[in-house]
Amino acid sequence: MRRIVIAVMTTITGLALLFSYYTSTNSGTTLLGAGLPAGGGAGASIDPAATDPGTAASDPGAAATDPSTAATDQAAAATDQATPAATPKPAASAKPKATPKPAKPSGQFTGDTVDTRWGPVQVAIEVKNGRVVNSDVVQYPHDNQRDLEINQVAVPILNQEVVDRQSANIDGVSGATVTSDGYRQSLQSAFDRAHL
Amino acid sequence: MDATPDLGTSPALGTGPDLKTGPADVPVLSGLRSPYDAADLPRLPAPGPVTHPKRAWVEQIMGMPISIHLRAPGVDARPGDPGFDPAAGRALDQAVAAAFAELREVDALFSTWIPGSQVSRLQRGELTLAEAAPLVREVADLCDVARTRTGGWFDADLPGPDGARRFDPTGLVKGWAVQRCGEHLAEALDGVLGGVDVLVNAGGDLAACCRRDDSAPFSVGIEDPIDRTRMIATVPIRVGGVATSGTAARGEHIVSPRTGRTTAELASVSVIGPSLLWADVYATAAFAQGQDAVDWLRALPGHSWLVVGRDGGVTAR
Repeated sequence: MRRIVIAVMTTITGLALLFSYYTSTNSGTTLLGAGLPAGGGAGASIDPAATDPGTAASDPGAAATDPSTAATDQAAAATDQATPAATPKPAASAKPKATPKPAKPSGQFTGDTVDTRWGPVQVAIEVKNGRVVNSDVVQYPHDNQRDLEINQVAVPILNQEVVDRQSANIDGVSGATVTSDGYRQSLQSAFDRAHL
Repeated sequence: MDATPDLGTSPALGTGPDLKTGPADVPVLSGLRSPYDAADLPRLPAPGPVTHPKRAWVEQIMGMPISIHLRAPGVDARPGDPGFDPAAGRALDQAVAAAFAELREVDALFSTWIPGSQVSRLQRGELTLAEAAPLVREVADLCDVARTRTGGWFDADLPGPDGARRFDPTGLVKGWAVQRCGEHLAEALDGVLGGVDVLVNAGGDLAACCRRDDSAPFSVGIEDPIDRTRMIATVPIRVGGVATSGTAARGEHIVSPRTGRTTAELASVSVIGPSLLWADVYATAAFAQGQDAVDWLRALPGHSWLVVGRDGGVTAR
């Protein structure tokens, strides 16, 4: 009876010690297990059961947090890359949009023919889900060499600008040409038709 | 522009180091800040800037297309859209039509291309300033102020095609008219959609009049005159003007009042200030000075600027 009491007490002590070392290192639990008397057979069998689920439970936890931080790191890296260095947006991307937009338009939209000092200009845009993916000059002035030069310079640049303008969120450009404004004017009516 | 001989790097226009060495008390133009953010507006506990929908209108006036950009919640709603406010829609259309009408009236008074304009008649001696419309007299007075403020680098007394000097306020009228138009339009729309932000772009010179207190500034790009596939900087601006003078746009069209010849020592000069009228005048005056522009601009209070030399070197404040 006394040995039973001692065995039970030893087991309880062992369990108590075990649980008090619940978060301790492996070496600690190993020492504890080794220190248990022979009478603590039940305690010895509990030992691995008590520690393993604990570490097993904490490991997936750690494993679960790692990918998530890795994911946010990637997301941060992605936004870093996406945001031009010169234009930081103060938490704009994190904010929910205040005005929910209606269905995004797709398709091809042709702007008005706009008369510039050098002749008519007409622009078409291709829209996918509310974003301009391409723009093209359908009609441009070509009465003389100067017009050709102007348009050769202005048009590809503006093609670039149309696509860039949305990503950079530029409201206007200072230093533009008169011809490019003809382009822009036709472009704007194409935008208007696309309800952008 | 390519045919002009390269003038080489001047000490004042070298690349790099000058970019951020403006006087400490003046905001640096790094593409990030403008000294005019809400300068004239009460500081509110900012609810965080919101990007409201935009809508634009364009018309061909003064020999160039002029676009008006409005920004407010619901400004882009069309008849049939959910939430379309017919009264607001009418108010927007009327106010924008009035703004374009105002610019056309200015053109009718000031255009040197219209033989019957008051300025054309002044130039032919058929009209005296005393007899001219109040707006023409106002502009003539502003031209005097501009000549004084720029030390003569801006001058409305310019040689015509025949070489004889005559009154030509064209260099000031555009900035003045566009600034005025933007202010009038923003005022007219004060009660509409809870206030409307206005941006007027006249051939690359822009006037911003933001009347909302919950919106982000307009973002204005400054085109690189050397490599026009890119923008050299962006300027956030709520109230004020961004003007660029350069040879990239229309060939050489800025005449130096000192020499009477066109100047092309620089690729472009952009000036950002509280009013497009003065930003435009200062940009023109600086460009006319060629290599001396940077020193002159450094002494100009209350404005940011960006000078691009023909070698592509950028100096900015």
